[in-house]
Amino acid sequence: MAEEKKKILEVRNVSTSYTRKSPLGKTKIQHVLHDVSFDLYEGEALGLVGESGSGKTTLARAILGFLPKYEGTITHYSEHPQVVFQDPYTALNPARTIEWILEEPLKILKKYNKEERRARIVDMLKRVGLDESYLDRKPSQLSGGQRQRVSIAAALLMEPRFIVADEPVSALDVTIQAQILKLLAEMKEQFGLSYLFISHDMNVVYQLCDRVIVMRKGNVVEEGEIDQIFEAPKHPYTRELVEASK
Amino acid sequence: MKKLFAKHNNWFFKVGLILTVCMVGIVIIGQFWTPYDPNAMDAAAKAQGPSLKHLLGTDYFGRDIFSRILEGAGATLLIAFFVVLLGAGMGTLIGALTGYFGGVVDEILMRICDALTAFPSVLLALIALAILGPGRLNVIGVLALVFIPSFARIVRAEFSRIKKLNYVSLAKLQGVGHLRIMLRHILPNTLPVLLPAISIGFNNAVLAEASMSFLGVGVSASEVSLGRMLSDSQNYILRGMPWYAIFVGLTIALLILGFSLLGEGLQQED
Repeated sequence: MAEEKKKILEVRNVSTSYTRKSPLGKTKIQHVLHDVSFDLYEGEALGLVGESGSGKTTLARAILGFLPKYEGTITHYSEHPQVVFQDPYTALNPARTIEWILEEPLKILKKYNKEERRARIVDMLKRVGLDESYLDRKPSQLSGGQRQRVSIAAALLMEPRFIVADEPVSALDVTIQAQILKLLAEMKEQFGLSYLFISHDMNVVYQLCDRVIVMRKGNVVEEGEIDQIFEAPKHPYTRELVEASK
Repeated sequence: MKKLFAKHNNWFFKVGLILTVCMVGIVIIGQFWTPYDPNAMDAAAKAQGPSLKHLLGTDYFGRDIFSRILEGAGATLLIAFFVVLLGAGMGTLIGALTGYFGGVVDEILMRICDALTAFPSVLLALIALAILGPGRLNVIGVLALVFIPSFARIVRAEFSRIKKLNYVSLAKLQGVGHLRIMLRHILPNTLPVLLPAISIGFNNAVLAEASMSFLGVGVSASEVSLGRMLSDSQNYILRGMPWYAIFVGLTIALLILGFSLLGEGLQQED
């Protein structure tokens, strides 16, 4: 690319492994991530594709700081990276109301008083396609799609520039999937966000992402622009994934 | 309260709550007003059966049994209250810290809890009280200590389960501190397990105090409690006054029935 773009995330030579002891006493080193490097630029949606067990969720955990031990470096160029999880049923505190869940990040930011917080929450609910009537509800009273909207609202209230979306639509019905993908795309435009979008579904990635990284067994096997990956995949595994999605 | 009712719309909960509220209510009233002075002796009304004048009869000193039961139940409930407060409080604190942080401290504290639970708790309390001597404060201290492991264990299990859930990860990512995560994010989610445990804890505390005092290692001879009264009343059974023991025993039975029904009801969600 000719033009100079601002980096928002830099991942360099990240590896992680765990040792497994067999009953016979042999130790086996299992690589979960092997020498993974990539950059994510401002305003970009980067897809991270691979089958389950390819290490993509481990990589996301490392990026978010949930992985206690790994080699290599991960550098964030933005504050408060946020995440939208796959399972909308465990992403929201079941004992609390939507208002409490959405107010918590704002309380931690310590930038706004009570009225400002309330105004921001209501505004954000409207942006994600919900309204004030949801404030007093508990997560158990919401559908999967509505919960995912609340999760997105909670992430956005932290005013991040970078969001990790870990299979955010794979637990949802196809029609709801399309709605949430549309919402993610709109929010990206509105707030100038960058996404690291993790999915096993090439179709979903194609709808949202500009660039794709294909992972297999902890290794990056291919990286490229979305059209190039779809029209002329180089690696046989990528070809397999693209074929499967057609 | 309304939500609690909606969530536990079962007969265990309803009957348990009514029974507990009635019993505790009567006992609380008894702390301020009793029909007679519980210690006033009346030579003219010795060892009488239940009558309109003395609702549950009188003992050999002419003291009104109903008034004495009110006072004794008050003492027993107060002991149970502090036992559960201290036991559940300390247990929750230990369980929360070990469950949330894990690691070496978790291992050490949990092995101590294992060691404590290896002995039957009543036996352990008996031995401790036999060494320390009787008295209200000793009973509270020893029973609370014996109660800690059971609370610590269930709270620890809940904390170590919940800390792995996404909403806790999310809170960490939002920059919420550990203490706030424990108190405001995780603790409210342990209530469905903690509330029945507290209710059953009350049940066990009343029973344990009664057993200790009955065996003479509980409250001291000058203090009053249901267990103490049950111990005294057994002398009257063979002297043709079974109602004393029956009424004291019935009071204990109704109290623990209320608490255990409440605990059972809280466990069943509707």
